[in-house]
Amino acid sequence: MSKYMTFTDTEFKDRECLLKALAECGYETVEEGEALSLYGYQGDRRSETAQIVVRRKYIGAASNDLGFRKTDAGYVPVISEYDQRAMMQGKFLTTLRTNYNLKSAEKLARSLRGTLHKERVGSTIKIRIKY
Amino acid sequence: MPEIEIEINTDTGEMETEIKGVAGPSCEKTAEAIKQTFGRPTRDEKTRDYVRRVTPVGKTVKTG
Repeated sequence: MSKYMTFTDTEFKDRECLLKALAECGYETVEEGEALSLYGYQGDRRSETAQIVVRRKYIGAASNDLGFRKTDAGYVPVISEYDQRAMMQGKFLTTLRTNYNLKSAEKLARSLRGTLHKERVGSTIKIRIKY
Repeated sequence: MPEIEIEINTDTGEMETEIKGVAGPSCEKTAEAIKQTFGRPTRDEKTRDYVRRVTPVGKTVKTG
């Protein structure tokens, strides 16, 4: 063994993995553009813009648009406090992060031309990539 | 055979990776591939084996 790395940040570096993780959460329909406007639950245009947007009609009647703003470090979620509490009973960002990490592991295994073995032990998913 | 172990905590979304069976500098290449995919780690440290494994082949190492 030679190196440990821990990832806890909220940025999502890889667009392809983020889109797959969103689809896994049930949000397959997204809009992509340079500076898409975000709209609130009453149809009001918000000051924030994003490059990837899930429109509120796909989230819930009382929800706001969900966006992801592109930064140098990756895509950062633009999500209202209400939706952080309401989406997936408050577990949306954690579930999205978990799905993102799974998709990223699969991508890493492909890029290394390795084999991936996955098992779930309680609340931990253990992945082993041999290459 | 080199391998990467990944543990994802589904309660927090936090992930830890460990690179095994790769000698020091070559390990950085694998680490870079991980960073390209997962992003910046919040913790990044070498294990004791990182140093041990870079000992040049043929060099005598006294132990004990």
